[in-house]
Formats: sequence, C-alpha cells, structure tokens
Amino acid sequence: MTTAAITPKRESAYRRRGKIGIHIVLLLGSIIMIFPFIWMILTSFKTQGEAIMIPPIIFPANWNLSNYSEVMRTLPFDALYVNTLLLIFWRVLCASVFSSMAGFAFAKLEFPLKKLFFAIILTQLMLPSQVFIIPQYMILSSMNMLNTIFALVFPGLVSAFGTFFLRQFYLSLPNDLMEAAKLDGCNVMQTFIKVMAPLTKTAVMALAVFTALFAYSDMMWPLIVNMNIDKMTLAAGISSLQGQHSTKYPIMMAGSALAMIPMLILYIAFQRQFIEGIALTGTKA
Amino acid sequence: MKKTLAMLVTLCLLLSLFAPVALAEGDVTITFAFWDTNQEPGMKAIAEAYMAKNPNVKVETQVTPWNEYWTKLEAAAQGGALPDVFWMHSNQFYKYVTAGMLLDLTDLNLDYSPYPAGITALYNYEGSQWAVPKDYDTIALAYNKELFDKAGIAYPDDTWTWDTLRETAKKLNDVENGVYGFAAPNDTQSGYYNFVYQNGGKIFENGESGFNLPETQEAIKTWMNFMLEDGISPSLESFTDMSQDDQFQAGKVAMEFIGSWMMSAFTSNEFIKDKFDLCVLPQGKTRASIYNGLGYAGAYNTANPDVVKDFIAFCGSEEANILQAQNKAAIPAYKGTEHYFTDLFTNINIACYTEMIEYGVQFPFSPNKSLWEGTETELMTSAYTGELTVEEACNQLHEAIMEIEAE
Amino acid sequence: MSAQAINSDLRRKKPFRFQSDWGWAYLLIAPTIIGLIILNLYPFVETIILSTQKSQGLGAAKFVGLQNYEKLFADKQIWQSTWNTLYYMILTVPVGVFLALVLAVLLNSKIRGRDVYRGIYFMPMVVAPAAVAMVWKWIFNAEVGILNQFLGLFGVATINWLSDPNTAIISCAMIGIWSAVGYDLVLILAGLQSISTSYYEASEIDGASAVQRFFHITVPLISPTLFFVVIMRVMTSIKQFDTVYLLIKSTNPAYKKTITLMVMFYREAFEKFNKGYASAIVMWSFVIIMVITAIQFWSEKKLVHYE
Repeated sequence: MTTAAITPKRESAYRRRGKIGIHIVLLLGSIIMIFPFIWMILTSFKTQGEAIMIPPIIFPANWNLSNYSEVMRTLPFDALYVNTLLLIFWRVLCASVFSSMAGFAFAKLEFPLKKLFFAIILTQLMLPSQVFIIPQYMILSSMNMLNTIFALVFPGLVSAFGTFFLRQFYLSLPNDLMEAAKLDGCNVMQTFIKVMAPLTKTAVMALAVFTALFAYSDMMWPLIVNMNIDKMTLAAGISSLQGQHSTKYPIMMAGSALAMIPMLILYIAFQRQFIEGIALTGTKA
Repeated sequence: MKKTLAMLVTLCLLLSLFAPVALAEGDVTITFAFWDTNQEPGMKAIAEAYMAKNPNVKVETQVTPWNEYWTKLEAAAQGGALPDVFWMHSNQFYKYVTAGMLLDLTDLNLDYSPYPAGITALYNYEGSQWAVPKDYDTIALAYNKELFDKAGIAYPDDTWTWDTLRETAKKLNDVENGVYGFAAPNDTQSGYYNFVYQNGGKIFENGESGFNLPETQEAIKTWMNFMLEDGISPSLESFTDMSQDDQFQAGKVAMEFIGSWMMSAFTSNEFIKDKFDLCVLPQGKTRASIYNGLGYAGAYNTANPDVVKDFIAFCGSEEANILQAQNKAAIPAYKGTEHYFTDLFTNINIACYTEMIEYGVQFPFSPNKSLWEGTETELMTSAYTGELTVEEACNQLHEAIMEIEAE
Repeated sequence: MSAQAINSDLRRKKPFRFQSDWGWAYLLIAPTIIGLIILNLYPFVETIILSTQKSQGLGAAKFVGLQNYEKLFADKQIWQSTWNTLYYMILTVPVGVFLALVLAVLLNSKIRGRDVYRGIYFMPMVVAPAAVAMVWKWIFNAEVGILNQFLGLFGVATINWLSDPNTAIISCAMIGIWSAVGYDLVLILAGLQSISTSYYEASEIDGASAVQRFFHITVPLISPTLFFVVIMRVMTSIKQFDTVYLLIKSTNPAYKKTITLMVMFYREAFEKFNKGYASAIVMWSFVIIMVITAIQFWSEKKLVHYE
C-alpha cells in the first residue's frame, strides 16, 4: 500500500480559510464520537440519585469509586480479563496459521475440487453466525468440552475471512518467486514456509488485528456456551449487568468502563498498527 | 533462549485451552445454577454451610440473568450438560420434567409438611417429586409515603378496591412534574394477572385457556385503561426507558404492584428505603394475590446423584431456609422460618406478603407455557398500542394457546 | 468478501503450478476445510433439516414438510421484520458511507492532527457492543437521558428515542452509524491515499474546481474501495443483531416495527423455543442475502471503475 498524500505546492489564503472550516467540521464530529465515552466515565462516578437527576448534573459531587467496587464485587473481572486475553490469543493464532496455509494453497496451487472447497469458504461468509450456534453447541457438548476456554475459541478455530483475505495477498505475490524456489530444490512446504509466508507479515498482522477486534466483541457465544461466570469474556460478562428489573446505570457504566479499558490501552499504544491493519483488510480483500 | 521461553509460554497456554473448570481439591464438585443476583449471598451461604459439613464436596455457584438462564439451560439440556443443581420455575417445570431432564427426588422421602402444599404440588408430576420447594413470593401494593403526605391523602389500607385505587391515583397524579399515581405496565405476575383472578377470571386451568372469558378480558381492560384512559399511569414508552420499579424508586410513580423478591433491593436503595411502605392488594370482586414458588431441581444425568440429592435435601432443610432468609434472599418455604426474613425489615409492613398467602392464587402455568409466554407479551403490547383491541388480543391469544397446548 | 476480488480473480493469469503436488495442497487446506465443514457447513445443513421440522419443548422433533414456510409467508411479522431489516440497511448504508467519505476526504487534505482525528473516529470499534448499547440506552433515555435534556434547552419536546415505533429503528441506525463510521473512514482514507497525485496536478492545470475534482477524479478512482465498503455495510446491516437485541425488548411498543430478521430468529429459537420456525426464518434471510449478492455482482460491472 502506498501512502502518497496530495502535496500542494503552496498554500493560498483560500486554502487556509478552508482548513479552518475543515477543522471545525472534524472537531464537531470528534465531539459526537467521544461524548458517549466521557458520559460513560462521568456517570460511573455518580450515585444513582445524581445520575437520574433533572436537570442533569455534569460532574458528580464526589468522585466516588463505590460503583467500581460494587461492579467488581458482582463480576470476577480478573477472570474476565484473562479469559478475554486467552480467547483473543487463540483465535488470532489459529486464524493466522490455518488461514495462511489455506490462503497460500488456494492462491498458488492447483488441485482437484478446488472450486468446491472454495465455495465452502464462501458459504460461511454469507451466513449470519447465529445460524451456527445450536449445532456448534451440540458438537462441543458431545466432546465434553463445555465450560472451557476451548469452548470459547471453538467457532473461531478457522477463519473463512482470513483464508479469503490472505489468498488475495498471496495472489499478488509474483509467481517468479515460486519458480525460483523450485529451482533451488524447495518442495511446496519449504517454499511456503521459507519463501512465501515471510512476505505476508503485514497482511497477517492485519488479520490478527481484525480477528482480535471481533473476538473481543463477540457476546452471544460466550454467554451461551459457558455456564460459569468465571469462564466468560468481558463482552459477555458485562451484558449480564443488565438485570431483569433494576437498571442501575452508574454501576453498568462502571462495568462498561472496566471492560473497555484494556482494549483502549492497547489501541492507544498500537494505534498505527490497528488502523493500518484494518485499512489493509479493506484494500486487499 | 528466547525460543525456549516462547515454547514454554505456548505450552502453558495450550494447557489453559483444555483445562476444565479449576479442579477442586475435594473429591466431588457439583454446580449450582440460579438467576437472581440479589439472592447470590443467600445461595452462597447455603453452599458454604454444606461444604463445611461435607469437606469432600465442592459446590460451585453460577448466576445467570433470567433471560439467558433459560436459553442456556435449554441448550445445556439438549447437550446433556445441565448444571447438577438448579432453580426451577413453574413456567418451565413441565417442559423439563416431560423431557426427562430432571432427577427424581421421590426417594429422598422428605417430609413435605413444612412447605406450602401448593408449591410442593407444583413440582409433583405423575406421582413423583421433581423439585424441593425453595421459597414463595406474593404481590403487594407499594406506595410512596412522601407523595401521599404531600397530597394530604390517607395511606392505602385493606378496604381498598379498584375504584379507590383509581380515584386516589388520580388525586396523586401530577403530570406536569412527571409524577403519576400508579404504574400499570405490561406485566403478568406483578400486573394484570392479579386483576384477572380478583375479577373471577382465569388465565389457564385444566387444559383450557381463560383468555376468552369476559371476566378475564374485563380485568385486563381495566388494568390497561389505567394508562390508556384514566391517565394515571406512565406510558408504555416510559416503561421501556425506566421500568416500573425504577420509576417507583425514583419517586415518579406513587403506587405500584411489587413482588416480595424486590424487597432486598428496595430496602438497600438510599432514595426509597425510608419513603415507602406496603399494603395488601386492593380487591376486585374478590381478593387475590398471585403467589409462586421456586424449587431446587437436579439434573437427570448428574455424575453424582447421591451428592446432588443430599445437597438438595440440605437446601430444603430448616437450616438452609434460615440461611436464605437471613441473607434477605426470599421468603423461605419452610414453615416457621419466615420471620427470619420479615424480621430484617423493621420499618415496612412486610407481613402483608405472608398474610396474602391465605387467598393467594398460584401463578398460572401450563404444560407448554414457555412456548406461549412470548406470544402473550407481544399480543398484549399490541393491545396497549391500540393496534388490536383488548378483546381481539385476548381472543387471538386464546386461540394461540389452545393450538400450542393441543399438540 | 468482495466482488472486486472475485473480479480480479477472473482477470488474473493462470497461477504457477507445482506438478502433481495435490498432497501438499490438501494438507495445507485440510485444517481450514475440515474446520469449516464441522463448524459451518454441517450446522447449515442441520438448519435446513430443522426448518422442515417442528420441535415440541425438549422432546424429539417431527417432520412437517413445508409447514414452517407456509406459516412464514402468512406471518405479518416476518414481512414487517424484513422491512425493518431493509429499512435499517437503507438508513445506515448511504448515510454512514457518505459521512465516512466526507470525513475521509477532509482528513486527506493534509491537515494537522490527522492521526488524532482518525484515532478518535475509530474508537467505537474497540468497545464491546454490550457497552456501546448500554451507554446509548442511557443517553437515549427519554425520562432522564442527557440527549432529551440537552434538546430541551432548545425547546424540543421529549422524544421517545427507543420506544416510539417511528423513531426506535432510526435511533438504532444512529448507533450503527456511530459505531462503524470510523471503520469505513479508515478504509476509504487508505483508498484515497493510494490515488496518485499526478491526477490532481493535471486537473489543477486544467483549472478544475475542488468539487469537480472530487466527482471526476476522487470518486471514480476510489470506487473499488467505496464499493467494498458499501457491500460490507450492506452485509453487516442485514445481519444486524446486537444493538436491536440489547435495546428493544418485547414489552417495548416499538418492538414490532424495529426487530430485525436476526432478532426475530433469536427470539423464536431461544425465547419461544420454536427451532423449526426459527430455522425457516434463517433460510429466508439467506435468500435475501443471495438476492442482494446477485445485485451486487451486477452493479459492480456498471458502477465500479478499475484502474
């Protein structure tokens, strides 16, 4: 991917005025984007009474942490963090390795029934994931694997999107490389591991970011497959805060904030990788 | 070096993948599932008391919110992975017992005389006992003393009728300030079911839906009209943003019907705990309050049926009932232990809950209620929005129920 | 998946081949294919079978032929939900993609703080949907929510964002756009940045205005990216589940006019326990997705400009 921005030769007064306008629009947009997060944080420090006061108060009278201690008492956040981390780790690892293998084969090798196998990949991309929930659950239970981290990872063991995406990337690599490797006496596997795979590092990183984001936000599956709250992920855990009757917004906001923090820190630290990874999934797939 | 470390980490992670729920030190681990977070301390206390007596057994508690609880339990039942012990509800009992999912508890030979007979009978099917009564709940009228005082109106008492309720609510209405006299939401157990039975109507009895009866329809109409015609209740829209319980706790409605299970939440809410009190329900043609009771059930395929049965028996014991009462969980089913629960509430008339059991009506259930419950909510919503008349909604529901039950 | 990719496929040269190396190829695709067969293909077939059955409680299901489909097409709610789903798509896709395009063009104009802006707009993507739904439910709360309070300052009457049958789906669409605009923006911006500056320089010499440049150079040149973004949005909006499921309960007066096909499927399958009927709903969604995919292939040939 090339990043050649437009470079005007000189800035006219017209342009400068235009830039102020652009900043105003972008700033307004940014406020809309960021306000819900700020409101979440502010609410999480309020008491229930302050939260539902009319007219609303912007800042809590006391920045009390009781909502945080309350939500940490209701949900085992340490376990939720660890489980989410494990889920992301395994889904990313499996998706990267298996999709690289299959992506390479579909792009660079010829074999009988290739079209049929490729069609199988496409079906998965077309169907809504809710369709698979019940049968996947039954498979797991017959394997006696419910209530494990494996159960969380299970539907993401292979990735149709990843295969498709990496296949596109392998297609863009020149065939000369394959030719050269063959002349050097490499077999298919060696060509794949030593010559081709190293060239797809950026694409694999992109897939990793993509997979991690979706694994993190998957809510329904962990909720159904794992009975035990300390075998759940953050996304599923906090959804259980929406109790049947009482809606204690400050506590729910505190829970949401706690669930958001690890991903947010990662995101801020690796913003470039995140965004460029996502951009790559769009330009290649 | 780096490689070895990486390998080591991978190995650990690999183990994490296949490790089952943390292995207990005891010989036997049983899982115990329920849905109410408010009752978690009570259930944990029971589990701990049992573990103290049986050091070789580990009881793991699992809380899941109501909706997800049943989704999950159904998936678990189909997958043969039910928790060992779990709460059972009258709406769902029939489905699980007819599918053979429950452990037969008949041979426990418990003495069922301390429990309300209706609740024991609820979980009795074809001569066998499938769940041990846990608690019971009834519905009372809660009112906001502050709003009554401000309007200079006498508090509700046991002489109240539907008309008194309506007229008083009208006086309490202060729509300009967003205060309504009463809450009449689309709710069954703490809603129109009470009116239906007070009006001599029926919901479901002896294999017949009662929604086609004029008494039933009249009662539901009266209930909905509190909102639609009398204007004494917040709108349906308003209830979706703030449930009736939240509105009551925020002082936005002066009265509501409230189940005993909400008391631990209400009395720990700083804003409402000193401002509200309870009264028996107002009467229609007759008195009625919907009561229901939960039960402790076991999984048919548990690996440790003896331990499970022993634990359920313990849950049903006087000792465990006292524990759940002391933890403000619910009104215990075991006769004579109720006061452990009611004693915890000193400044409200909590006794009205236990008084009403005298003329209480069992929360209606049917073999396939879980299949038509959702349809009921949807049709009643249509009646509220005016898309259907109350009669149309009830008649359609009647037919839907009869069709489902006939199969 | 994009049609662009498939199209580029058709145009690619024959790949280089190792002779008689099927074994390797099968070994490489084995984990993915076996995984997909177990995880997706078998469940799909199972769903088709289920759609011809009627299950009663937890007991065994019985074969009922096409009865579920008859019921499906006679059910007013299925048409309403189909419309809701399409309406949600109509609400989110054009507005969302247009906003993303405008923002991307603005960000591409070499301004200070571009990375900061981009980072802010992308932020909703790293938050779990349950948290997003909760915070918006709180903001949209008609009684005490901040949005109505704020609008009240300007004399706007109370709006029942999430419970008025006419606005609830619009509110859900707003959340959808808010969540996804950053993602689309990042993709479009990447597309914009890959346009060679020589096009612009040439047009500047020709004296083209900024608007002319936008429509005559920018839009055609990023049409493949734009097309991909649109397709992706269309697909995710048809599969919309999380937001509507978390925000619209069955006691909500806006319920019928808001629930999407996937929410209806979920409620039938897991709350009303009609697995057979629920499977028929899934098959119906599948048909809709296929039709839209066909339209997508057709329109790509007409609208998309490949360099």
